[in-house]
Amino acid sequence: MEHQRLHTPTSIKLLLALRIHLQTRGKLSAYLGKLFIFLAASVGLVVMLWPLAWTVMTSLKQPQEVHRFPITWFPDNWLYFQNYIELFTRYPLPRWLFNSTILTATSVISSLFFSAISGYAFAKLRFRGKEFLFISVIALLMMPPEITLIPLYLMFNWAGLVNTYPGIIGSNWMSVVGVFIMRQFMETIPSDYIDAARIDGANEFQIFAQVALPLTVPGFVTLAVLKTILSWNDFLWPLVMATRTEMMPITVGIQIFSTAFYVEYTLVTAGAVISMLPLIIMFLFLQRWVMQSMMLVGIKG
Amino acid sequence: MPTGISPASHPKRNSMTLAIRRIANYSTSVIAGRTLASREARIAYLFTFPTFIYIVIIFFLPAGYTLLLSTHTWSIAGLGRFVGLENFLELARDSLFIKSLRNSLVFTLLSVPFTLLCGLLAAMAFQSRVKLPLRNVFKAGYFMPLIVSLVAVAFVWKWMFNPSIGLINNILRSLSLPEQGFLDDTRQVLPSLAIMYIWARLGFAMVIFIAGLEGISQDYYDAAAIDGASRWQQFITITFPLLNPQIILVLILEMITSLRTFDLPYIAAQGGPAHSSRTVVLHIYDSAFQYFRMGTAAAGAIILFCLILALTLLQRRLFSRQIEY
Repeated sequence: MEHQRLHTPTSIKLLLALRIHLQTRGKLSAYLGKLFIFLAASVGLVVMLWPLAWTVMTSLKQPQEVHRFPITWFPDNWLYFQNYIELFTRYPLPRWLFNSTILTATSVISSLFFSAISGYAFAKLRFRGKEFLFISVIALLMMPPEITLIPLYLMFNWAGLVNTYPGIIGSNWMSVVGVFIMRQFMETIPSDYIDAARIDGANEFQIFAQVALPLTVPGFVTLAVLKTILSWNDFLWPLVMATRTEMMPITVGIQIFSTAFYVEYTLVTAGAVISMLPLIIMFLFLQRWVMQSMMLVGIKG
Repeated sequence: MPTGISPASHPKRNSMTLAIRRIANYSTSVIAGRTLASREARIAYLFTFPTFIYIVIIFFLPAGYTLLLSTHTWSIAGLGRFVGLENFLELARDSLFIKSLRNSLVFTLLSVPFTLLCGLLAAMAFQSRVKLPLRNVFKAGYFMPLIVSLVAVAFVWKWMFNPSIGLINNILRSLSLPEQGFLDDTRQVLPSLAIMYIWARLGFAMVIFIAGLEGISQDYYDAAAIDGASRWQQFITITFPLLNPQIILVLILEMITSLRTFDLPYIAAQGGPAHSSRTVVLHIYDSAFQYFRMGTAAAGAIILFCLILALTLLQRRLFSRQIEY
């Protein structure tokens, strides 16, 4: 009796101890696993951000600093802006930035407008030929822009639009992806709202402007962010369309460096920094929107 | 004239006139806008008119003209005579085009698998289930290169890869490892461009995969853990199959994007050295806008289009099969 009373707790104790041991070991290994992921992710983060940081630091170095061996990691003087000053005096950089801004703003505003009205019609209005037209829009999404590059160039050239803003905007005044995105957002509006507005005597324009638009503001922000990134970074079409230096957007402008003075990396990196700064600032403020808009490009298919 | 029409075609003609009459009736009622439905349709046509114009003028007409160009001769005066498939045959004989096609395919094979793999690893680590500290900082950092223009990416990496004073060769030198030519080496230029591409595009795969992973119910993992499945088994039997739609989506999109690569080889290597980084779009651009050979350039564009169309159709097919998940 005595023996048994002693025996049972011991075995239970052992079992309990074993369980606690296993639990803590599980917790420990989970903790170690997470630590490992964290360390690996940190190394990855350095690899991802280092090229950008290195570019910024190179742009703040004096030309002779970049030729040192062994290399010096950080600029001698963090406030050495001579490269930027030289860039701005030797090249029409303000003009390039102005051109990029004009092109981006125009294509964002006009594609927002056209995408909104078409998206609304496709989502909420009944008319004949809707299916056919919408299937054409979807079909367009699958097409690579290169297929129309040459005829579009010949067409714009014939119309005398080379080296003009309308020409450089080209087909960017509308966005097929935008129509698709706005249709998705417009479809979330309950049709009851629209019917109720109709019964109250609102005309179709009022319904669109006062019922549909306020309910799809997130769609607008997403599309605006997406279109800003795409048109600021657009390269092939402006390269073809803007042959005069003063008409070039910044992406086309800085590619001159790749042939003109490729050894002067302090200037090249300064140019790269200026071209990517606006979008990076936008990304820092609108992270969630930027990520969402880039995802929508993928979902278009 | 009517005598030549066989009796069999009469019903057809009747239905034709009927259809025309119906369309005419519909358009008059829409234009007059008397009923609610016709007012709605009127506004709808007004609203979709820009899209219609865009599709026709900016898209279908030029695409059709590309087809015409590819089968005709071309000079400054415009379209020449019809030459059938001569432009395509000329491309097939052009060793430079064959090389650029090969380069594009090699570049795609080098860059796409690693973009997907890195994106998947990052997504696995940064999904909310893992509860990694600072996960949003990591996510933002990995995503950032995606919004930088490929022109800037090309400059950034051209500087990193510079054989004499670039960062990477400096590191190799200080580790007493042999220096590499990178963009100046005919065999290393495509892998170097692929590294740029992976670095720049990884964020896209990552956000799509994270969205897919967040959609997988925790219940599956809990059930598998109770059954004693290891982490690896859970990945193979749960994560991978349920993430399949996203993987296919990213795979096809990245293949299309990398087949269309132009900015990176154009800026970082000018298609060189010795044309070893000349891609299909670079070849099209060169023949159209440097040598003004619009016919062969259009034929090249058609070939690229066919490649991409095949990939898109493959994607649709795979997706229609995935729906059962």
